[in-house]
Parts: sequence; structure tokens; C-alpha cells
Amino acid sequence: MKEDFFNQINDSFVEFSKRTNGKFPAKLKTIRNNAFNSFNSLGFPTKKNEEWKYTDTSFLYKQDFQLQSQKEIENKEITDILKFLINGKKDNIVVLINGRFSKELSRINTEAEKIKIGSLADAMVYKASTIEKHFAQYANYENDAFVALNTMFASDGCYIRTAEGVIVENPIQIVYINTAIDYAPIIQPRNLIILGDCSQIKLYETYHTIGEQAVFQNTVTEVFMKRFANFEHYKIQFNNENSYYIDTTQVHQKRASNYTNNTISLKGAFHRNTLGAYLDDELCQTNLYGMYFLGDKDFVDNHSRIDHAKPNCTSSELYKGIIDDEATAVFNGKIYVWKDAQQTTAYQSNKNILLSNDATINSKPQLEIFADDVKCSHGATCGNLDKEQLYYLLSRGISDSKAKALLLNAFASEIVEKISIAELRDYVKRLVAERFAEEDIYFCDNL
Amino acid sequence: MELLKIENLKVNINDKPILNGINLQINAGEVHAIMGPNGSGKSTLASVLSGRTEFEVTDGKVTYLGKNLLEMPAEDRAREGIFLAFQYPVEIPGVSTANFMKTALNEKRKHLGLEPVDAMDFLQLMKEKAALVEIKSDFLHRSVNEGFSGGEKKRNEVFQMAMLEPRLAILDETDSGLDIDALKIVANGVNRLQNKDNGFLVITHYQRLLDYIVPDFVHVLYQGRIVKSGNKELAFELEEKGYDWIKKEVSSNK
Repeated sequence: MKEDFFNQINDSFVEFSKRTNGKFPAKLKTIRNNAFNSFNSLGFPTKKNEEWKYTDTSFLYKQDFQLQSQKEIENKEITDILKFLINGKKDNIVVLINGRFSKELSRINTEAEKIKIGSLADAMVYKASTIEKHFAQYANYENDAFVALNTMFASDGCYIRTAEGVIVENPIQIVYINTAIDYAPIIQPRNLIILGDCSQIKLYETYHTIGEQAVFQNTVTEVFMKRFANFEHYKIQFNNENSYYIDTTQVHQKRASNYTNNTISLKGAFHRNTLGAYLDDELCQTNLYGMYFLGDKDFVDNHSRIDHAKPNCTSSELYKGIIDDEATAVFNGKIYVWKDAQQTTAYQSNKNILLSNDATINSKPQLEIFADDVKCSHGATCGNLDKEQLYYLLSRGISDSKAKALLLNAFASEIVEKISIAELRDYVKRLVAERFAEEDIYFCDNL
Repeated sequence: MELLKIENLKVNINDKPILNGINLQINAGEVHAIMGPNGSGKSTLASVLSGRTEFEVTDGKVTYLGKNLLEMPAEDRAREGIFLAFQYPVEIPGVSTANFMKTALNEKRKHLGLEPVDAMDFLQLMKEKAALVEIKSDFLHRSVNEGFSGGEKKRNEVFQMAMLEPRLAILDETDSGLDIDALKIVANGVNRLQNKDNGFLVITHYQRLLDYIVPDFVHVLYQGRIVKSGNKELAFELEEKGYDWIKKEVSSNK
């Protein structure tokens, strides 16, 4: 029930505030209370809300989700998950168990004076001034109920801070492991990433569930990039039919910084990716890429907004999707070019292939331009596989199913090939190939 | 040895008759040329033989190596050795020619009960066949036909033909859009693939190609029928006189 769920959240917040009283800096407490007020005035969005027009959040009331904290879990199952880390040897591994940073399982291979990778909970205590300066400054809880909900309870997650000029060669992996054994939990990780001048990181996020119950993970990641910082950010969403993710990432970019996000969604009952970049100085570059390959009743909503607030910045956005069975995808991309943002270059494109009559795509590319000297384009396409291409392959003796797999793989590979971490790229290629049950297509790619 | 036998083949597109009773036999070791004015049904014949499905066969029979060809899906025809060099080869972004050919070759081998080709052998084979049509090997790692010139696309068709070693190759206006140098390369590639076991059906509008690929037989297709057959001299005659005398001959015979 909607009301019960709402009451549960509010009761939990009162209890949480009491429990954490005095533990966090005063400013955080004010922010939480503001978020609480926002959440109560906003309520959960309905389809009447333009930003949620195609996205039904009623799953929230249907699954009996519980906000209570989780019991300890057996390490064996976690060890099994960690065995499947994509590049286990070299990477910096951040393990978040039910949203909490695990010191035992995380593995950080960097020098602490150059880059700090750790728990946000610790940072809230030991780096209070930095946290006060950046926490909840970018992800807006005043008009987004899920950001408000996360901010109310935000107490742990991954905290990354790089010093000036530090180039982190080994990628950082954030592994979310949630337990859903006795009841359906709500997990709310909160990440904060601050990149110093000219520093560079690559980071990818993967998601795992232990147990049969449903999971609702409501993540907020805030990124602050100083001058000339460079960040490649990947999310690999490969979850079960009982998992619900709302993932908000808000990036704030300073002069000549370069942010690339590549979100690959291959499976999961519900994924809402709310992704924003605010280009707050000249010469910034923002690349947002996404590939979704959905089947069954999967749902993915890629919802992005790029704010060109200053002149001479470039943004490029390309999302490609393959939608099969009864799956649904939503693309909503907004580009705002502010009045001062002359010489902006912004491209946005969303391309879809529908494989079944019951598959749905709602695509809404949007451009709002208030400057007069800009180069912008946007567009969306939706269709079936090209019949001439298919026939060409058949006429060379390739079976119908293999021909389709080749063409779809080629369609998806434009995004997958943009992954610059070789091990991660191979991992994603393998996941895509498995979908076709035509694995040799992937392998002969390596000629 | 008989490769292909077409008997009284009649084909409609959207209820409109395009082929009105074609008879043609191609034996191993033979090169046949089909010439004819625009709209005479040349490309339709090539498409029907390769297995396109948007045509309706209303009458007749096509036998390939003793089997009923019209009952076979396009991919099986290819695996059994029929190859169509397209008039307009399509571009396939994201699929490399190497990957495409390896998949096609292995599908054929599987059909014939053979093991997949060894990776090193495959690379060697590609190198050899690419040299035949003077294709550089970096071409093979680019997406199929993407951004290729007209001549490069046609050379790629002949390269694929060389890779798949067909029993019956159908060249659908392979000369169209080629300059004389590209034409020589393509024709030279085809000539080197020719042997006593395979057959070629060369469809062309102009006699020019037949200077380089010398046919054993020339047929003139007009209004969906083969109205005249002869040897290569017929091609010269057509080049000299155009198609009008054929048209006149047909109408006076009616």
C-alpha cells in the first residue's frame, strides 16, 4: 500500500535521526531534514510528472520493501561473487554490502596520498569540511523524490578523492552486493567522487543480489570534477527479474574537464538511470553513451540532462537499444544550452531496433537552446533489422539466426567498442554474445 | 555435367509477369552471358536463382545439381554452391569482412559435414584470395563495404566468390559502375576462378565485360524470354547494332 510505505519511510527517518544524532556534522543534519521535507512535499512521482511520464514506479508498493538494516551475511557467498570480478588482479575493488563499505572485502592498490578510495561514512567523520562542501550540492533533492529519499538516509557508500595531477592507471570497480534473503530490502548507497585538477580515473559499477527476494536499490552518485580532470564511468547492469534500480548520477564539471559515461543495460526488471552533467566552465567535454538489450519484461529508462551553462563546451550523446519480447525502454535526453553558452556543440541521438510486436520504446530527445551561436542536433530512430543486409548475409550461406545475431551485434558494438578497459569490453561482449546463443560470433571478432 | 537446368520458368512480381518462360541449361565448365535491354528481367532471374522470396514463381522448374532449387532457402543454395555477385552490394557497418567470411565459410563447412576452418588456415586463405582481386588485407578488417567505392564493392564481391568457391556463380551486372581498370581486375579474378567443374552466368547490359570474360554462350533476354542464343559473336553483333533489331525481330514473329 502506498500510504503504509510512505509511513514506513517517515517513521524510519525519525528513528534514523535519533540514532545518528550528533554522529554527523551539523550541516548534514540540516540537509537531511530539508530532504525529508522535500520528499514529503514531492511524494513519489506518478505518470503525470513529465520526468516520469513513461516510467511506472508502482512496483514500490507491490513488493513490501523494508528499510530496516540488514543482518550480517555469510562471507562464502560473497567470496563466490568476488571470484567473478572482471579484472580481479589489477583493479581497485570497492565492495559495498547492502550499501555499506566493506573494509575486509575491498581492495585498494593505490597510494593514499595520491588517491583516497574508501567509505563515505568515514569521510563524513574525518573529512567533514570536504563533505560539507560537496555533499548534496549537485544532485538536487528539491525536485527529485528519489534523490531526496537517498539524501535523508545517506550514511555510506564509496568516497573517492584524487589529488592534483594523479593518473590512476588501474580501473576502480564498485561492486554492489545486496542480500535479499528474509525480506525485500531498500538499499541506498551514496557515492561522492571528487577529482582534483588534471587527475584521471576509470571506474565501473556492477550489481549483485544474494537471495530470492526483490531488491530496490536507490543510488545517488555525485561527481565534482576540477579543471582538466578526466573520468571514464561505466555501469554494467545485468540483474535479475526481481531487481529494481533507480540510479542517479549528477556530475559537476569545471574548466576543460572531460566526463564519459557508458551505461550498458542487459537485464533487470527495472532500471531508471537519471544522469545529469552540469558544464560549469568553458572547454568541457561530456560524452553520454548507452546500450540496452532487453528481453522478457525488462524495463530501462535512460533519463539524461546536460546543462551547457558556459561557452565553448562539447557534448555528445548516443544511446542504442535492442528491445525484444515484452520489454520496454525509455529514452529521455534533454540538452539545455544556456544564454551565455555560445559556441556550444551538442549532438544527441537515440537509435532503436524492435524485435517483437510487444516491445516498446518511448524516445524523447529534447533540445532547449537559449544561445544563438551553437551547433546542435538531436534525433531518434526506431525500426526493424535492415532486410537488404539480412538477405546479403543469407545469400552467403549464413543462417537466419546467425545473420540476425551478426547484425544486432554490429549495432550494439558501436557503443560496446567505446569501452576503453579491455577486460570490461570483453566481458560485455561475452554477455551480449550469450544473448544470441551464437558465441562463435564474438570469438571470430578477434581475428 | 549439368549444373543448372531452367525449364519454362515464369515469375510474377506483384501479379505482374516479369519472366515469361525461361529455358536455360548450364553445364560444368561453361560461361553463359545473358544480355538484354533494361527491364527485360535480367536481375529478376538472378534474384530468383539466388533465393529472394518477394517473387512468385507461377510456372516452371529449376534443377540445380539434380535438386529442386526453388524449394531451397537462400542460405542452403549458397551452402550448396550458388553464389550471387550483387549489382548493388549492401554496406554492413560493424561487421568486418573477415568475420563475415569466416562465419559464411564455417556455415558452408558445417552444411557439408566439415570441421570449422582453423584460424591460421583461414587467414592464409583470405590473404591468397584477396591478392586475386588486388584487395589490401586491411580492407578485410573494415566493415563490409562501408564507405567503399563502387569498384571496391565489386572487387569485394569477387573476393567473397573466391572465398566460397561456388559451383555456380551468377554475376549480376558486375561491370556496372566500374572504370576500365577495375573492370580488368574483376574480370581477371573471375577468369582465374573458372575451371572445368564450375559454371558462370554473367548478366550484363553491355558487351564490354565480355571482352574480358569470354562467354561460351550468349543469350538475349527480352520481355522475360530468351529470344536469341548464340556464341560470343552475338555479343559483338548486339554491341554494333543495339537491341532494336532484336525487338523488331520479336515483334515481327508475333
